[in-house]
Amino acid sequence: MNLFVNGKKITTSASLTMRLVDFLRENLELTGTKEGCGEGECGACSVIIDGELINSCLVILGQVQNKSIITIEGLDEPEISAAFEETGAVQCGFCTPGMIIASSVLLAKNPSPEENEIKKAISGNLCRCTGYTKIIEAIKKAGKEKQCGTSN
Amino acid sequence: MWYEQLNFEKPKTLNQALNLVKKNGYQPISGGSDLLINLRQKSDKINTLVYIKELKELNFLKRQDNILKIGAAVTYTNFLKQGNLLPPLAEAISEIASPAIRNIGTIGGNIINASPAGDCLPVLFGFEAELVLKSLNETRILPISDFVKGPGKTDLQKGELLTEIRIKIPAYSYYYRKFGARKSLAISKVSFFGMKLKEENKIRLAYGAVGPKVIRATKAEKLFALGKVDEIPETIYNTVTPIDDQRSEADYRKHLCVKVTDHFLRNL
Ligand SMILES: Cc1cc2nc3c(=O)[nH]c(=O)nc-3n(C[C@H](O)[C@H](O)[C@H](O)COP(=O)(O)OP(=O)(O)OC[C@H]3O[C@@H](n4cnc5c(N)ncnc54)[C@H](O)[C@@H]3O)c2cc1C
Ligand code: FES
Ligand code: FES
Repeated sequence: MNLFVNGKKITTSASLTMRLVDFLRENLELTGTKEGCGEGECGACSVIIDGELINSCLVILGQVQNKSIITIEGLDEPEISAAFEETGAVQCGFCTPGMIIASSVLLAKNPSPEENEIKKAISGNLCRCTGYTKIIEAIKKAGKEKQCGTSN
Repeated sequence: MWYEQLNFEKPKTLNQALNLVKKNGYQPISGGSDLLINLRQKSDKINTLVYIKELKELNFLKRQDNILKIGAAVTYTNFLKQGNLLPPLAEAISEIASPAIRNIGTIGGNIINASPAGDCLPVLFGFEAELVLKSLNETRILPISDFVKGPGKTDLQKGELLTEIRIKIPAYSYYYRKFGARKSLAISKVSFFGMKLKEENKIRLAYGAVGPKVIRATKAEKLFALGKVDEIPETIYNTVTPIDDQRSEADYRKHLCVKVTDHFLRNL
């Protein structure tokens, strides 16, 4: 079966009932995608599949045949990563790749989201360290910077 | 994960899918958000997953006059994208879990999963939705209240797939409310859907997460039609049957049902 990961075509004979998170981490060694709960609750395993935010622990390979997957390694969003660093939205960092993935899906739809929308967009991403305030701040900042970047 | 040992089939048509799901050990998988988590409990009975989520025959939204037809594999996100097809269902769906789960989960999966807290169910019970169930040789159309039997139990027969949810939309006004434990990913503690039929002096009351399946308070509905509104609170208190280890918790949820019903009735 084939799938596209970060723009590259991958052909694999791995089991079609293998979880996407395991395939990414073990077979492709893309370990930026984390596994927290393994049950869809924490969002550490977030990836983008055909433009949609998805928990890779809840998807098996057969469900993503010929689909295009973007992981944190393939995400080209320097503004978001920088904003997370600068606002102190990263502590232990375990939730960060998932948060950044979720943020990028939000900002692609709406570069200047209200606080409420941000909260909804990251409602499936848990952070045990930061209390979310700084993450929300980071997402606002990244949105502003992205807009400046595109309008210049 | 241990289920890597299972086989996987991706049929191209509904007919091919029906030919597969009739076989022993073949289990449909749509979004997989319930199945992949519960698979362990069923693992001795399953050897092959049959992927149905992308079948064309299960992916449609059609509104003809006052009939809405929803393909069983329509995801929450895709339903919401269609805007105003059925506002109370959209409202219930928009409160489900997180964006990522709404991208995966399907309306049909929510029905077959038959969780007492399944968030599509109170609205579908209120509208008296009909379900279209297809097997190779037969099509059955059943009211949802007959099809859903109890926690995790439905009348789905081996070899059958749910293909369509059919909703007749009368002139109505409504009130929907979900009380959850946490902000997101909340499993409902109580959910309520009340509707008033505009052309008749009738209401419908549906309660989720306070019984083995959604409870329609038909006795209270009749009291309304008879003008005996003051008897409704006590009737509701006695109709809903939350199960809980702690008595106080069950009692609290009964009171919540009474209060939310009262709010609905006052604002008709
Ligand atoms: C983290 C998390 C949070 C959740 N939060 C909520 C919530 O807030 N509210 C809520 O209601 N639910 C919630 N759920 C449950 C779940 O997302 C929904 O019930 C969802 O609608 C299931 O759809 P699915 O397509 O993923 O089902 P699947 O897992 O693919 O299937 C579920 C069951 O139905 C069968 N099935 C599916 N489609 C068909 C069909 N067309 N014909 C015959 N059989 C079929 C499958 O064989 C399986 O037994 C949550 C789940 C997770 C993991
Ligand atoms: S690991 Fe996938 S949501 Fe927690
Ligand atoms: S920074 Fe530690 S979980 Fe978010």
